[in-house]
Amino acid sequence: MKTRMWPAAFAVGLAAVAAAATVPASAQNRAAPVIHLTMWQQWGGGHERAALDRIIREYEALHPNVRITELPVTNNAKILSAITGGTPPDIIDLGTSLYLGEWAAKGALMPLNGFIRKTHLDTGLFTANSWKPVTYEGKVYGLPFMDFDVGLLYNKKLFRAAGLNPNDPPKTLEQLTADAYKLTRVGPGGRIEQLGFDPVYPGQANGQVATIEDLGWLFGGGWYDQATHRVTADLPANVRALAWEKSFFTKYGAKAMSAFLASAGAYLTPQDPFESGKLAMVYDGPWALAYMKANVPSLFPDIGVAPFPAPSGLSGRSGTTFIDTNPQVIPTGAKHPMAAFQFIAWEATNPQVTATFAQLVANLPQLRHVPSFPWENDPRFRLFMQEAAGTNAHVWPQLTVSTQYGVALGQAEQEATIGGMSAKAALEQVQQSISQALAGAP
Amino acid sequence: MALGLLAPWIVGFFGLFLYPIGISLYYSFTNYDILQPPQWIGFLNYAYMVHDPVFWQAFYNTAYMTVLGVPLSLALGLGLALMVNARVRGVSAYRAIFYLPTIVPTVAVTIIWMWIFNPDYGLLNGLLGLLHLPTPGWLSDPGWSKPALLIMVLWGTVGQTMVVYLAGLQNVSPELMEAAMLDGAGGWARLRAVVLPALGPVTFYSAVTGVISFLQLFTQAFVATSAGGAGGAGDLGAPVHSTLLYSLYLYQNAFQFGHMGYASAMAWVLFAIIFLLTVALFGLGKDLVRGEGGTA
Repeated sequence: MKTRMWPAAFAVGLAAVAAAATVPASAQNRAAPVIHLTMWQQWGGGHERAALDRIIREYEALHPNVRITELPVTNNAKILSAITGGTPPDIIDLGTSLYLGEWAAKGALMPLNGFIRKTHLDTGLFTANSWKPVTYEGKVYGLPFMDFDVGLLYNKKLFRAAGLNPNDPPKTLEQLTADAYKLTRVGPGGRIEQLGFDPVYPGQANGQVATIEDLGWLFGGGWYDQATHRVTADLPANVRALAWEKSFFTKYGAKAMSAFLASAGAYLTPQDPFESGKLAMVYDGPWALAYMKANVPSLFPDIGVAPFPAPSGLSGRSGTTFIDTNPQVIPTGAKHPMAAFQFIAWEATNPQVTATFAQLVANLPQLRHVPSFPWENDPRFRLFMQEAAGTNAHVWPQLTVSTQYGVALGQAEQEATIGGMSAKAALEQVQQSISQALAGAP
Repeated sequence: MALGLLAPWIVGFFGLFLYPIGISLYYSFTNYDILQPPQWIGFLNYAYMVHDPVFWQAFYNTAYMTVLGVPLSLALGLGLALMVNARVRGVSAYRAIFYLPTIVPTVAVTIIWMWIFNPDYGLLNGLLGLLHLPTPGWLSDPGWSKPALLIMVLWGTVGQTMVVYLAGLQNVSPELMEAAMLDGAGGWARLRAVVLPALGPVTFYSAVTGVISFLQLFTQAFVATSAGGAGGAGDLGAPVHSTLLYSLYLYQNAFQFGHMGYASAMAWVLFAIIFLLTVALFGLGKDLVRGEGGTA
């Protein structure tokens, strides 16, 4: 995707040069000097970019003294070196909050509380949970835009074929495990032909740091104790969650489980294991519905969505998910922070813009009230909206070492599932290395 | 005037070469996350390396690749060179074919290899299955990922070694070969007593450059684990750190974790290792180099 972006980026660059060349003449006719804002966005090219450009043109029409140039930039190293070098853009659409706290702690992002106060932005327009991923140590570092979460998606056709009731998705994790076994077919030589559930798929591909992140919360665990400022990777509940993941690898063999995934096509393509009907259940987000509709329309009506079930005895935790958003942030050193804030505030609080984008990318509106859009009328999509607003929606801990913590957790998941390590030992390793890193080890 | 003409080089050499080298040495003694000014911490980065299990895992992976890769690359390169040195019809076509992999872009080739290594639908396991041989998980199996990586790297680099050996073979003195033949030396004896000693300098050159490039391996492992199949969206060094090479871990520290100081220290340690190994090889290589028809 990156390579295809270049011609487009080049064209935009040329356009920007052309615009810069022509603007001064027309600007002289106006009272206010023209402010040029640059925005680095993570939507890439394609229809998302076209929608963003429409939004920008609409804003420019309303604010004749503002010109906004957007560029697709997703490389964090590039973003960080631009901030360090003192030449950051005015606005960055981060795409995830996984390292928002980390960057904020290091002074790379501007706190927005002052702007919110000055412009009297009504924070009550947003759903309460939308603020969770953009808040670090009590301060807001980004405006939420297009929230996302995960739930249980399942293939009703495969349920029927396995003799399960397609309208009765599992209500407990134990039931999900039993259903998953029934939905699994193993061929000659132990090769998995169809799998009920794969605890490591799609893993971090869908925005979580690893599946274990959500499973830890589902089992009643957690990853950081705000009160004691302690990493809690090795909580017994987290260990039980990882042991549950491992049980699938013990049952079907680590080699067969890895081969199943390695042989499948890339995530969100018609060859991905869920879309191709080889995997019966996934812990994934609302956009999976949109991709299903586009890629395999024949299967789309047979996709069910349900809250991901919790272990029996913890039924209150069913529907556990991470909650994240596409934070619209202003990097430290931005030339026109106030103008930048005015744009992101307009963008993030505009109900029509929000509805349009939510429909386009099948993500959740960050606003409480938006005009009706087609996805919203699909009860399956609405379930994701309800979960995102619920009490079981959690955020990944915002720490100075969030990235490293996430990588270490993904690593522990691998160690336990295919590396033969015990769930306890794998998480104790994370506990030790991240506690050390948090304490300031290099 | 002269200075003006030299200026581009001077700026390039000092600004883009010497300065980065010097500043990385300084950073290696600091805690530096790019965003905040570096803090001097003395030798702490180096001390931390000793106790970092992931560092040792990366070190082991790289040592594995080098220890197996360099001799294999020499042996295969020599073998191929001997084959395409024969006077048979179409020999230049064979030479071109064996050299071809070296000029194909590494990233594209790595992605093709990932398909070849695909456990269920890959070409390789398809062939192995036909022959009723075991079909490993290759890149998805921590026990097989390093051999798979090695095959990938060797396929792409052996052509280069072959060409260097081929050039060396043209230098083998025909008089010596003839004398050996008259003395009744068979093919194997001629190879051992005449050809190999004559190729000493080439072997030495290939060993030194081979060690250096194997210690710095990056692209193949980076592409194979960051492009990922359905599972890995970006597990550098997956599965279970089995392909986390030294350079990969260095990159991860610098650009994913923001541990620029630690990464700089790792770079200097790698430099020290390469330097010491090269010095050692030069010591060992004295005898090899002397082999060249008495001219060395």
